[in-house]
Amino acid sequence: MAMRSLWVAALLAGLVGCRGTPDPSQPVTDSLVTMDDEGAEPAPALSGELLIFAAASLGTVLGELESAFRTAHPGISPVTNAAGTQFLVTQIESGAPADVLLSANESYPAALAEKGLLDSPTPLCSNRLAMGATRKNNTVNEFQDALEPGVRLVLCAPDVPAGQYTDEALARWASAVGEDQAAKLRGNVVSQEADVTAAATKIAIGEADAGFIYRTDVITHGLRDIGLPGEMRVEAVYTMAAATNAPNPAAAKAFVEWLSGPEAQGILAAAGFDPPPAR
Amino acid sequence: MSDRAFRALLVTLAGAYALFVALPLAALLLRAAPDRLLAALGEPIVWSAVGLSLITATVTTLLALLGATPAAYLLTGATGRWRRGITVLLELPLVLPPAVAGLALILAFGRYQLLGPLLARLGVEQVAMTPAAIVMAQLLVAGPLHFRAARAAFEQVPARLRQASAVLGASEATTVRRVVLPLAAKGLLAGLLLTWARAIGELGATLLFAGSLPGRTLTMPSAIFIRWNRNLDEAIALAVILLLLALGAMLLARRVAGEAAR
Repeated sequence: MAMRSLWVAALLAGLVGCRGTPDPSQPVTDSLVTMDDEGAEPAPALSGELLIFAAASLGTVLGELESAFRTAHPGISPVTNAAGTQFLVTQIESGAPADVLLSANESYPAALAEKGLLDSPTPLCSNRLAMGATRKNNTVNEFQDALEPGVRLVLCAPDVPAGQYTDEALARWASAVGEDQAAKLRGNVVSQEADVTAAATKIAIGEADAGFIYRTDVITHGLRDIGLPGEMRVEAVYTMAAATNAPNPAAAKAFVEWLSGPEAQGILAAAGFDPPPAR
Repeated sequence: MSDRAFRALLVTLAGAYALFVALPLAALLLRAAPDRLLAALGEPIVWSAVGLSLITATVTTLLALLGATPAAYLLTGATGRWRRGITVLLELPLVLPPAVAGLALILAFGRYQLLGPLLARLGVEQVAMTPAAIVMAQLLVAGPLHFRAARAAFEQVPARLRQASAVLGASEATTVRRVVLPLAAKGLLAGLLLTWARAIGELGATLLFAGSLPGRTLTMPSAIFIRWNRNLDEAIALAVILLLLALGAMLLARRVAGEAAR
């Protein structure tokens, strides 16, 4: 729950206040070395906490990413705050200390970068909107079943990236098949959840028959993947950026760079994420 | 330490605490610009959330009246181990985190959980993710407030009055109606008001057990939680309404309870 994330953010704020953070007078992240500096110092070993604000859908794979990153940088202790990206954005806007934001969309980090709160975002990976169906019953076996009266569907609230992708997919599909079909589908929605993990869990325990989540959530929650109509194929592009006021800027920068490298991309691919689209 | 220094220390600590409580509430009210508040109030989603919250909290309060009042009556002055155990059990949700309450409700009444199959045989296909689930979440979390207040109210009724009533030949039902309830009425009313105020603010158990769908299961607290990130004005409008409702219920409860104590 995101209430928990608020607490995590508050906790993190407390922790960061107490722990030693890298000396801000050392511009380790700047590639430009000014003439005032005492020559090029060797890059200091990375250490301290790394506060990762991550989209809920990255929650599972993030554990693997963190342990791989720690193998390369044993001095770093990553701390994760996973929630719906909209909560992470509000937290960062409210001044929560974050080193890195891993967002399930492009627009939220771009808006934060415009406000000067994040560095310029770069693509992390991509995902696909999917329909996951519960294994507790066989109510939904193919997409058309989701239109039947009495079927119980969940999706994410309109602020959540997954909810926005769902809206986009539904709008495109509605213009192809007609608004009456779309109305049947929308009428079957029983809940708009605060993050995609909550939606996937409600499907997994069978309180909903099926719902719109990401393909990776279908995998991690052991759901049945119900193929979506072609019009509904939406690619979710995940982006990442270090925070402008990152408490640990060196580690933040190193993590973002490492995430676009082959090792991290391999871990993401194994979890069902696609590489980011070529630009 | 001189008395004066001691007083100064107390006043300083108390003042800091009072400021800490007052500041967030003041910040909320300061942010509530009247024009934007009115604009947010024009949103249908806000009104459906207000309506749903008022209805569910009121139904919850009536159910607490029906269930927790007799429980409190039967357990007043309980001394036996079993009766004390049941009393503790019924008050336990007071200290239960709402998220735990929501999880427990799912595990009990979920479609594929403990009682789900039985409910389905009785014709109740679905409990979770429905408006009924909101009431159940509120009753579990807020009901104990009435239970506790009702026990305190019944304990105030002198045992000799009940005994006198029985000696005069009145049945227990008559004694309850003519003697116990009139004397406990104000305490009971105060308990119901507190239950209502707690119920209308319930969030954690509701989100887990009832979900949130505008017009169906999106209560005021859920709307604030789910939508505040991108609709801050709307969230503030709802928060101000909730604050005023809770304040009203609390003041009323204080007044009623104050009269009862006299």
